[in-house]
Amino acid sequence: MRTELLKLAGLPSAWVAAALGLLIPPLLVTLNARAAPAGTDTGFLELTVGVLGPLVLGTIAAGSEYRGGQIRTSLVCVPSRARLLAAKTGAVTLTVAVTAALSAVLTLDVAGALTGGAGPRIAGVVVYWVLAALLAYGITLLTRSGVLPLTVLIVNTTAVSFSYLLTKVTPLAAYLPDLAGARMYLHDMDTPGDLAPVTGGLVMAAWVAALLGVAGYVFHRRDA
Amino acid sequence: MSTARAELLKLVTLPALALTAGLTWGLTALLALVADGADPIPYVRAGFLVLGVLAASSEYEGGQLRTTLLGTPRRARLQLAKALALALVTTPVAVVTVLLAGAGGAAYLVLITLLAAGVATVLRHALAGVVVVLGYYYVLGPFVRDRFDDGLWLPAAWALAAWCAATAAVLRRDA
Repeated sequence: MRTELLKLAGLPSAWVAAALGLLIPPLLVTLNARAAPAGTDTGFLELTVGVLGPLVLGTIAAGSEYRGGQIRTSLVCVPSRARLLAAKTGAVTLTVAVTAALSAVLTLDVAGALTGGAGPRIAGVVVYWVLAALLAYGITLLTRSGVLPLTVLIVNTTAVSFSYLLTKVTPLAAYLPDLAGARMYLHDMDTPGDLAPVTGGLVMAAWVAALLGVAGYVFHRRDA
Repeated sequence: MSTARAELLKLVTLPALALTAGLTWGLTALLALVADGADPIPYVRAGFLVLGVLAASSEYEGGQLRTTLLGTPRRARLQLAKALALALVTTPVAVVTVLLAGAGGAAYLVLITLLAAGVATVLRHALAGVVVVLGYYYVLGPFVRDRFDDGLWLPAAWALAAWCAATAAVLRRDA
């Protein structure tokens, strides 16, 4: 686990990703403050956009191993693939959780929404960011290249996302990971379905668990 | 002319580009079918941005650029040939996409492909190129877009600027 954290900290792009997650939401709050009046979701909406940082982090955590065959060296050092994967997943989770907590406090402070009642919603943001990063990480483990997962996931963080378009076709789209997960901290969502914050988090966690299960199985069976 | 033909051949035979074009078309058809009324171009232009990034960064995976420069030592001419070949390859892809979507302009799509390729040449890394280009178009862009109109001259100017920066970088840099 310490090795995995060290590997992640040694990647310049990981620092860029963390900086993206830390700086984008407060910046957007400052930009938006002039355009729109403050609502119940001010600050939290910007944090949804800031998920770009964790997405990049999750992708490079998995993708960097497959550039120049680093994965072979890693497997020589830690032959147990289950252990290697567990340590890597732990490193991603820990890094993103710290980034998310810092960014949430910073953003809400800038937005002036850092009140006593914001605690559970901040926890929701942290869980959302960690799960989103693990989603990107799981897809990258499967594809072994970050281009496809990043393209799909970045395009999906826009204001009018694919998932949002799908809700126009079927109400079941409210159970897609990003829409269900955002229920953890957003109050005003104009999508169908009415999931409670905890249920939304569990739905997203179930998606991520299923994806990591498949990715872990494939990683276990595949030649490095 | 033979330089441009070589570049064209390289682009046409790259499986990643064919895959990107295919996925873009499939997505366009799906969105045109599903989201009646909504314009699919803002979504599927991501495919063209990725196309540009992959076309440019493929030279830098595994040092292919060194072989290319051995064949074509004049770097400015090489960059010109690359731009020409990419525009040629992208035009039919863009035309088909516009026909599928029933909206948008093919020239815009070709221009943003060239822009993405210029950025990726400067960065020399596919993933970094994707993050920068898509991050601007999908995360930062919507917030600053209000200050610019979305005419054709702006993407054209940006594509030209990116390509000049890329050429300058290729001219000065060690391969």
